[in-house]
Amino acid sequence: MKKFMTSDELARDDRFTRTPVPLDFLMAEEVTVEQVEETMNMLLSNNEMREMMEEQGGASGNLFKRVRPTDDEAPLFIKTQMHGIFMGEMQALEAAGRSAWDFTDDKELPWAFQLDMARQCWDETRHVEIYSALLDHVDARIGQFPENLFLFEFGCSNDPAERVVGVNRCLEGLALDVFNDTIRFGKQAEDETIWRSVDYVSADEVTHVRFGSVWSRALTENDPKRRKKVLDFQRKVDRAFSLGGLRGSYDGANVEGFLPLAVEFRKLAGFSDADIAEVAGAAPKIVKA
Amino acid sequence: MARTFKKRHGAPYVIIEGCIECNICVRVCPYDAIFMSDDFEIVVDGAKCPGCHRCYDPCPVDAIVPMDDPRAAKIRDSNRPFVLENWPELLATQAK
Repeated sequence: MKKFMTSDELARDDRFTRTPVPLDFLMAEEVTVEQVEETMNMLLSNNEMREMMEEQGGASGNLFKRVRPTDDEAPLFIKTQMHGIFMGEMQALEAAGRSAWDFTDDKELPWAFQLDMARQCWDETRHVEIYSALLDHVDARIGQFPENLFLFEFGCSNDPAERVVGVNRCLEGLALDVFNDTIRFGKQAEDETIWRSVDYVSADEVTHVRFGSVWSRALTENDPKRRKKVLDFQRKVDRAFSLGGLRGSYDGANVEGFLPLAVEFRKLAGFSDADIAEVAGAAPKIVKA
Repeated sequence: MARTFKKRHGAPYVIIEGCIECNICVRVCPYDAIFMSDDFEIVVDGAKCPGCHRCYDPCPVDAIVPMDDPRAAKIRDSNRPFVLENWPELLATQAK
């Protein structure tokens, strides 16, 4: 079986439509609100995709607003949210599966590494099934919205230490954020099926993040050069996963950010001078044009 | 530019045993008081943390607590150098 697959080699049937990974946008130091919208339009430049989204009632209407169950956009929001998480779980399953297989020739890696990755695959498989059922629950269907493979694309490095950081820390960390938001929505909507299911899945994500922390530390022990390289990789992936600053962006341009970071507040975006604070400032700054 | 605080809300926070380094507290802190060290361990800089509490709820494993919480006795070694010893005095000053 082939090792080290690229994101465009991932198997999907004809229910799925893909959007291109907006690499420049995701790696930008600073983006404007207009650029965010332009990027969304770029993603929708594909006719099939545009029609698909128009049919759903728009693609970016929820970007700058925190949707509540009583809002008109709520039904569409929860459908896109569930579909996005479903696709994220698929990619996490594929990424964990690759981690279990890609490094089998690496003598440095103990058997316990493969076991942990296999355990994650088992969890992710359950998550895919749970979110598939939740899609039914919110009256959505698999493939109803386009998929973007940036999670797999950025998370999967060919270095095992970087891989566990990208997939287990950054990707699964993003999942924890998104799940918190979904649990909040479910509780507000008094939809026990949603919030209990997502809470159940959340507990597994904690374990996956811990795998990332344990293995990234173990694989770079006594090797400061490699550890720094891995930390740099984490900053890069965290920046990409901040979705151009939309994820937990905090300034006035985006007071009602569409993906709040687990709590209702907004952080001043930006970076401090110290290298270490650069980790904290992984999200690019959103500025008003 | 990180935000600097003008008023101390309460005791500064510390990371205790059990942290999984998920980075959520780093991202929610408006003061850049929480960061990941070169040893892959998240620490809170007591001098920058006004005790605003925003990091407390998002933590999935309850590993970030204020220093006046009994659980702070389990502080991780990596966070010890960043503990602000005189925070009670500073808090009293701020309260005035």
